[in-house]
Amino acid sequence: MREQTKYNKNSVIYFAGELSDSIYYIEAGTVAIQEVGTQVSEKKKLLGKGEFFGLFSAIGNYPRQENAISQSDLMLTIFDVKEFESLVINNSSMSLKLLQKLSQELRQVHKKTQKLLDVNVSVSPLQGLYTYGKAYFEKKEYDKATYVLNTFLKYYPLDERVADVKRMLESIK
Amino acid sequence: MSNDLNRFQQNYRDKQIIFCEFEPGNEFFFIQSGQVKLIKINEGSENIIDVLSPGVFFGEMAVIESEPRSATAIALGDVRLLRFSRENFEGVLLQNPQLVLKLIKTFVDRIWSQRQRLRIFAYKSPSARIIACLLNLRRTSQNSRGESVTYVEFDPEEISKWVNFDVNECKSVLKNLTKNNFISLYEHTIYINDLSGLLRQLELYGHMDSNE
Repeated sequence: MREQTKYNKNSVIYFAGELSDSIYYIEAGTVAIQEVGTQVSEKKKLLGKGEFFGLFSAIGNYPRQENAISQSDLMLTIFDVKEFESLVINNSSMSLKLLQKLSQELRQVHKKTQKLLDVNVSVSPLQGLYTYGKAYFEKKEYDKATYVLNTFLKYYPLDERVADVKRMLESIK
Repeated sequence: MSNDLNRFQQNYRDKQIIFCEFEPGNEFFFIQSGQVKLIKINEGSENIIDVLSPGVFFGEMAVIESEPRSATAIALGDVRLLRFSRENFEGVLLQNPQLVLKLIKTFVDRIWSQRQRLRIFAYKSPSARIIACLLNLRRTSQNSRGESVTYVEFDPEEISKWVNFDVNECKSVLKNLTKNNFISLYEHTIYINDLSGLLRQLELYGHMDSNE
């Protein structure tokens, strides 16, 4: 078991710009993560027990992009990248939980990027599939259109657009 | 990777859709050979988000979170994939901890680059975006005289993808930056000569963008 490190409230764990391969696991307490040097106003993110931080810069070998400051008395376990890798390999239930967190985070960042690019992010799956199918149909990319339109029929057989979808599939044949 | 994974193998031909955005996602994939492009349809045309190469996972987000697909995956040439279902997802991962590690690294990598994108897209003008891109992608190393140099690997296509402007526009902005000696342009490398100058420029653009 790795040794644990204690921090008092309001201590700096690291500053943006630092290079380090330390990865932190929160055993107890709260940490505030504040992104620095971005135009997008990033809210302070609070992390608690059972969460990791410092992961991205450590694994990617990039400078820290955020300040990490304790919001309460804090107990951390600190890993270097090698130790973290063996933790992941030997503790699968923890790894699966971490995967879920990472996946949610990636989806959120994607949504923010799409918003900045002015892409409509609140399209319903139903409308989205229909739009795809139609776009491919109109571009005469019939293999792709067939795939998407059949997917639409499979999941939404009762929608009012079914007749239109079937018409397109029929004319592809 | 062990041989028993071969039963998950699946082949796709060029331009074949592997999955479509908005479709419920029950499977995730690992590329054994060939390339896969991730796209989104915007105003009737395909927008490439990423091109994936052998050795990486994709489609795992929908499986882990039970959400619809967030992009469309299409085979680029002939592709051989390993296809895992939601049912055997945990089983496969529990038996192959190396895959878990690989998957975690894939995520870390994608989140990092998406965050960079977010930082770059926050600016509207091509010049500001390119400066933000250079600053975000910069690395430092030592030259033969032991001085530290700041550089970015130069690939016009890559930069154009990062900033979402066309290649020629990117090149003309980069040329302009060489005139003021902010950067030097070589075939495969961009050297940053005046880091604080670029930071000042970016700050100026930031003010202009927010006043629009």
